[in-house]
Amino acid sequence: MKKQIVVLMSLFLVVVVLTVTRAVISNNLSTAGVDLSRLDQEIDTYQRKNALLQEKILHASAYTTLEETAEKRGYEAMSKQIVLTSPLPIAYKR
Amino acid sequence: MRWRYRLVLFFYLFCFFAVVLRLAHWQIVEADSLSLIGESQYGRSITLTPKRGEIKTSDNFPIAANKLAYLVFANPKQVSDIQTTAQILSPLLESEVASISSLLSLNRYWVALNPGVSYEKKEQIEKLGIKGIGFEEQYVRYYPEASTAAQLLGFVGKNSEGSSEGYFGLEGYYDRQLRGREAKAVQIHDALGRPILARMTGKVGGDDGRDLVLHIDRAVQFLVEEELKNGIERYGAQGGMIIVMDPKTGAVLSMASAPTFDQREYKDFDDGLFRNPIVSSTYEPGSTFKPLIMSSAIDAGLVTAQTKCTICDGPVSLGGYEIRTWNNKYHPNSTMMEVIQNSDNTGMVFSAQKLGLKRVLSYLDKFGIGEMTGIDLQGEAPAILREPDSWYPIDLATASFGQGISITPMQLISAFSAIANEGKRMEPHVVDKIETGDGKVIVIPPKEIAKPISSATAKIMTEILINAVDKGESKWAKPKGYRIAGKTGTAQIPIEGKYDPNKTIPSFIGFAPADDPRFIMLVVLDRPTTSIYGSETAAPLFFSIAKKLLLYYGIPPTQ
Repeated sequence: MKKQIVVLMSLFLVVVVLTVTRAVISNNLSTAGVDLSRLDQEIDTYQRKNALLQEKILHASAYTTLEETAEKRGYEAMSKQIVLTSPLPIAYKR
Repeated sequence: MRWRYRLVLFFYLFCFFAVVLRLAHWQIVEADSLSLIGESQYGRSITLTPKRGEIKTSDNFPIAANKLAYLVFANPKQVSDIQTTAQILSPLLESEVASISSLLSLNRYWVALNPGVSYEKKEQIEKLGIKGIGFEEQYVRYYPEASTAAQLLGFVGKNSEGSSEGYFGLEGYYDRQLRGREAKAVQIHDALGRPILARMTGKVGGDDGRDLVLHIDRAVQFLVEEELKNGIERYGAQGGMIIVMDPKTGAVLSMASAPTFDQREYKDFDDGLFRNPIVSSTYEPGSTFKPLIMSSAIDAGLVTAQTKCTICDGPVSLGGYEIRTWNNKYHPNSTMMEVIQNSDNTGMVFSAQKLGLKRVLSYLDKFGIGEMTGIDLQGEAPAILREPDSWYPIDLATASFGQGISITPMQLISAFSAIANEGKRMEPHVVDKIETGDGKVIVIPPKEIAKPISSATAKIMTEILINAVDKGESKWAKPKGYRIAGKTGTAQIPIEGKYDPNKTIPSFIGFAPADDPRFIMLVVLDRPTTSIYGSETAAPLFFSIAKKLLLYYGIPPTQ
């Protein structure tokens, strides 16, 4: 008789624990949309920043920009080619 | 009593039938519309526009990329003071006050004020906090190198359905690859409009556009465009075209033409500028065509480099016409090598007559003259040759020196590349590989399309062309120490059945280093005013670029 009561009580406890667990999880899930929305917004922000930075990088590394910058800083285009012909340097020969 | 039971029975049966009928109507006839209503109550369907693929040069630099932009829209019913709002927005949107105020006066809930507004401008407008003004994020085409290679790239415009579509050049040819596929997604939300985690978006299908990696070398393209611009100014030309290609693979390393347009402001330019003249405009090639006929005659075993011309002592009379040399100077008994060196029309008539019409047409066919090259660009024009029956002896004679025959610059360089590549003609290609969103790389391998001449003929022809450069009219411009094979051309412009004596299309085609070509290049100028001759305009421009290219590729001189 006592054994039966223990079994029944245990079952009851399991049911109670599971019910409470379910309620807690459901409660968390129902409000997680807010976090999700925040995460989505953060992803959007980073993607936007990434796109803006990529645009800046492309602009800075474009040859048209580089040419302008080089001209401003006084660089000149290389127009001569230096070719080493024989005889080879003594050090190289050895 | 029995009739009462039956009445009740029939009544219930009728009711049951009516319920079944109504359910069937909902389940079958109105299923789609009802499910849409249902979906709209707990979520919303979103169409996700794919990002257009980028177009990259051989160094992986995107010359056509995507840029973040905003569509500024308004709800006119929420805008309280139309005139003040229009005055505030006018400088920021770079639009007339009247134009904005007329849009805000419309009896609508949504009007687009300006597409493609930058992030900085959007921030400025947002800070003003004007009621009824909103923004929609979008990606628009961005060209970091400005209008570089505009006619090669084409542009992205809107089609009749309002969607983005590529037109002309690569944007047009590879539109389906670049465009990608739209995705559908349903976002489930709660009563307050917040998304529910357990019922998150279910994305269906869709792919971002694929990226194109070109053979185009950004440094070479930049150099060629600068040189073309300077050349047009220096020689007072109306325009010009330059193509640089790797003859061994058919890879197009650079392609530039002028006048051109700006892809960002394409609406402000004339439609005629959108076409790439290198593949879509035909012209008479003039003397640059001679090496094709000469190499055919050598390949057929009818002449050698040392064969003497027996009709070169004066003008050649043919069918009532008289064929003269370009400078009216004649070289009796000149060899075929000298015929090319002197760009002698009578010598070319000699070799064409040796070949005969049938063989000339057969060789031209193998050189790809009269058919499309197969280049991966939108708008390639077929420059079709006349039917064999309609050729007269005078036509064969004039065709031998590139008159009375029309081809595109692309056809010419494609045919000429066979001489530089041991007789093999490769299919010209701009795109090297296609990169998919999931990391796959589709490589487009080089393709041999014909072998019009033998390797031995190609070597002989190369030597003839080296001699033409070393002893020809433009030898002064050639970079010292290099073996360069090439030929000048001065094509006349046919006007009302005659040739204009003062206007020409000078050109120069050649490859370097001649013994192991790294590039083949064609330079064409349109009606220069400083000189009508190719040797004084196109040739110096060719050598100026060739010198810089040899330097760029680090090729040392051999002589």
